[in-house]
Amino acid sequence: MMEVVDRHWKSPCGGRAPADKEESTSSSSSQSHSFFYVSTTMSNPCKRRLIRDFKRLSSDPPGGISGSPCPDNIMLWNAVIFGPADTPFEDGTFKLVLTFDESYPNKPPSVKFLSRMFHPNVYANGELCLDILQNRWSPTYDVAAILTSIQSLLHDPNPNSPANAEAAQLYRENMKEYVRRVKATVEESWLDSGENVEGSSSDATV
Amino acid sequence: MRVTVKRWHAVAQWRWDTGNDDADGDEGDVCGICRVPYEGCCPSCKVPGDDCPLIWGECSHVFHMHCLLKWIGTAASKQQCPMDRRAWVTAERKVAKPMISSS
Repeated sequence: MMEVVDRHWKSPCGGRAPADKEESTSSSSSQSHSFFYVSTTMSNPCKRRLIRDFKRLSSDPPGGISGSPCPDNIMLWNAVIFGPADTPFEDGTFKLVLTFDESYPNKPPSVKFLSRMFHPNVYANGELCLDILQNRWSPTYDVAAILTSIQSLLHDPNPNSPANAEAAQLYRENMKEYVRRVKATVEESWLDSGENVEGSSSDATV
Repeated sequence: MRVTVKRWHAVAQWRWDTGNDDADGDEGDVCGICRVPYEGCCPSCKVPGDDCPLIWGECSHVFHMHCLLKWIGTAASKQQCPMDRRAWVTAERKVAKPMISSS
């Protein structure tokens, strides 16, 4: 899946999505672009749960996060986490992509930042080191809970399990420089804002 | 005057006795795993009722039995309750006994 996201932080929606065999074979001709139509016609437990996650996220959105499935693939979500106030990440609009497979919610989705991050627990490729997405996962978590946890990770990094050694070191030893580096990513995060909402037409393949 | 009852029909409704009557909130009455109400069924079943019962843990948490067993069957679960991470022990006292109330 990693090859999908190119260096320009484009949305994976327009590119090659992880294949969803059921849908691509059975409904390619009659595929609807309405989530709600899709929801009534599918029987897959994972997708039903994702519809519920989406309803909950839309009707009772936690502050500072947003997320929604791609119009043509409910297994692939785009999300935005707004940098929490009173942290170096304040005002950032950090884009992420969540990829679910059929075993959700018994397995966590794979979650990855599309925006460039400078954070002790985020790898250079955007993947993050967060216990609840690995060995502390629980099937009672939903998309809102995942995004809220990531949001709190931003202002409360865990320097003991560094995914970015330099960020971890600066966080411990040189807060001023750490803040400067983070703020640079905040400004960068505004620039790619237009590209993530829909798959951009330029990278759509025929 | 004499009244003759020509016809009557009974109406009944049922719900699972989760032992948590005051949980009328949005979150109180749904399975924490699939988020479907207890009175509904797990996403793998088509009809609610005895074929898709609830399961109680000693920790007092309640789930659709199918949802919980699927989770407990994964290695990642470490056989823990998804709510409190305590070792899952199924409570013996009530095993899917529907509470019947007429109206």
